[in-house]
Amino acid sequence: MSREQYKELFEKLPFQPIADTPTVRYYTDWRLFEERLGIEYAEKEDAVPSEIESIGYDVVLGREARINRRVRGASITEASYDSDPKPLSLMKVSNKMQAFHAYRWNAGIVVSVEEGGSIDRLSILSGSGEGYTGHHIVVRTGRESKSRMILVDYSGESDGLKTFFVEVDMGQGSSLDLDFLALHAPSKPVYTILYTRLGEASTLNVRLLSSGGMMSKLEIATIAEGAKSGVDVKASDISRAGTRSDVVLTALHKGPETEGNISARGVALGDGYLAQRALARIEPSATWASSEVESHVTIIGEKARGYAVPMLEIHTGDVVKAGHEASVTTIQEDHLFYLRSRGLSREEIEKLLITGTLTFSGVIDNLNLSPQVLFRL
Amino acid sequence: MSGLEVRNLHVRVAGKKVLRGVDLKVEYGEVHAIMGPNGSGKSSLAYTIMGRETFEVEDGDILLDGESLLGLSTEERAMKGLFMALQDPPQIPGVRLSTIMIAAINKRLGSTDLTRVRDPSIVKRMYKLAEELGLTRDILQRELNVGFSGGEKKRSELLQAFIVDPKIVILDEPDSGLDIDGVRKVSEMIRGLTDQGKGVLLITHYARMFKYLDPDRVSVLIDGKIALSGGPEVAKLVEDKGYAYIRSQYMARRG
Ligand SMILES: Nc1ncnc2c1ncn2[C@@H]1O[C@H](COP(=O)(O)OP(=O)(O)OP(=O)(O)O)[C@@H](O)[C@H]1O
Ligand SMILES: [Mg+2]
Repeated sequence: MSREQYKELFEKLPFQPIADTPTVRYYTDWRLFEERLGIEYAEKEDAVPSEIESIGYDVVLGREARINRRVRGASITEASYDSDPKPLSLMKVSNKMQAFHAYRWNAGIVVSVEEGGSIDRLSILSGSGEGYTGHHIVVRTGRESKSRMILVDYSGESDGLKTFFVEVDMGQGSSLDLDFLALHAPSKPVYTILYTRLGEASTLNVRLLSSGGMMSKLEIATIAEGAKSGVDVKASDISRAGTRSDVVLTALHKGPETEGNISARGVALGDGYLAQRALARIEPSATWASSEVESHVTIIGEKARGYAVPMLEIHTGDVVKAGHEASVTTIQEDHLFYLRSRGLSREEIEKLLITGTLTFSGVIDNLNLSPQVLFRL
Repeated sequence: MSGLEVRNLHVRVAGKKVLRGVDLKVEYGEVHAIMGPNGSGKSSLAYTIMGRETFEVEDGDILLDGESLLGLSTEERAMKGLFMALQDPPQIPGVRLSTIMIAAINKRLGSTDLTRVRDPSIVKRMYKLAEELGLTRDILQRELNVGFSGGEKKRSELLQAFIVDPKIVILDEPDSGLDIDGVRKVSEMIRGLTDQGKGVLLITHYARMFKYLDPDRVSVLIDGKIALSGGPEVAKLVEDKGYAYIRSQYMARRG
């Protein structure tokens, strides 16, 4: 589709096709996006905190795509509406904000990992600026290739709006190991999507660390299409005071004998809001699939709110294993007494719980970050 | 005096009177066993000593080395040298067993960063003690009490007691849910605590631990009062005659 066609779609589509559930209509406050749809493209880029900068990047997406280094085993080129593969050919545009992104994104890249190739480390920073920033990444992993990538989705202090979509098409027998860090200051709504399709016997490992901003909608959708493909997603999500996050982690099983594992830990502080939804769907074609989803949210702030909606839909008679688990808990008196009896104050206990949640997914350790970096925004 | 002293303690929880004038002492290097039937107030006594806010002290005092603890919070009491191993510790997802031990040690070393390991020998010690207690190494990396078996919970509580090195250790039924070998092991380890000069308040239903561990004193708590107190012979009497007998003797004495 052309820019023009996406624009028409944008005008027609609603923000959300159907209400999330009968009781809570929207986990995402789309109004905050709606108010900013008319803004200009960002000119000046937001500064990135030094600890995030020091990760070091092969590609930086800002006003345009800056490819700093050649990475052995892959070709990296600037994306356009008719690059190969085409942006948005994998993922179908299904709501107003996705269509908005589709017709307005301003910088992007296409990464092709060679057949049998191997990438030790490809790190990409997607930044932001005052105004609208739209970034798009398409990744295609060749057959039997092995890749390790780092994606940082950063949204800084200036006013604006950001959309950041990543599409990954995984070739047969390929593997991708991804550390995904989403860090948003409370000044813009951000819509982030990681959409992955898995070919036969491919494996995907995603570790997510997210700290939302004004309104962060973050979706990780995995489509296990090829037989025997496997997905493992571990997420640590935090909503600080004054922020709202709607994190949706999905495993869709289409191929037979596919495996899915999603486990998420979240924490909501102050008056923060965290919806951390883990969903799995096993389609009729996904015979002998196994799928487990788990979402736990701890509420620490007195005015904080959390949702840990798990969903597991099974549409085949033959599953190997299917399980789901979810909880939203406040710090209970018995937990508090127990930890205090070890000599820790309430404040220290809260810190430990926060750190525990943040380190759960492994991103902090892998990228050598201090948990404090999430609080400096 | 040195050690822990409880004087004429009256306690209420959720409107219900659970302790009605308890007196007891735990001196350093000794095991004072508290026995008593279900619901007699044993755990309430432990919680009150530890300063759990839901247990309201109506009268009496709790002293450590002659100083009252009543005005202190739970964590302050812990920092003064009290440790309580819970009868049934809660599951805490998001916090690892090793994390809580490192935090507890760091706090006692006066560090503001509770998560960083300052001295690697501490980790070695954790593993060594875990092994001695019959725990596998991987348990240290698991979330606190999440999916722990009954026996693993008891051992992990005792492990923490050793690691934080308190003056007084209150053990609330450290033997329940343990197999025979576990009871022996844990009993020997408790003796290890007093050998280090700590005072132990040992709460238990049964005398079975006393095969491996001679208590220095034994008190029987019934309906929130100490009905009988003495040496190991008291435990023998409980074993032989049961709590109903001790209660009736106590009632008779009081007229
Ligand atoms: N939080 C509470 N709210 C209401 N009642 C309580 C509470 N805690 C304890 N009780 C009551 O106080 C009494 C003493 O309880 P406690 O747990 O101290 O007994 P125990 O001697 O430890 O018993 P067990 O041997 O079964 O562990 C019981 O009747 C119990 O139901
Ligand atoms: Mg009890």
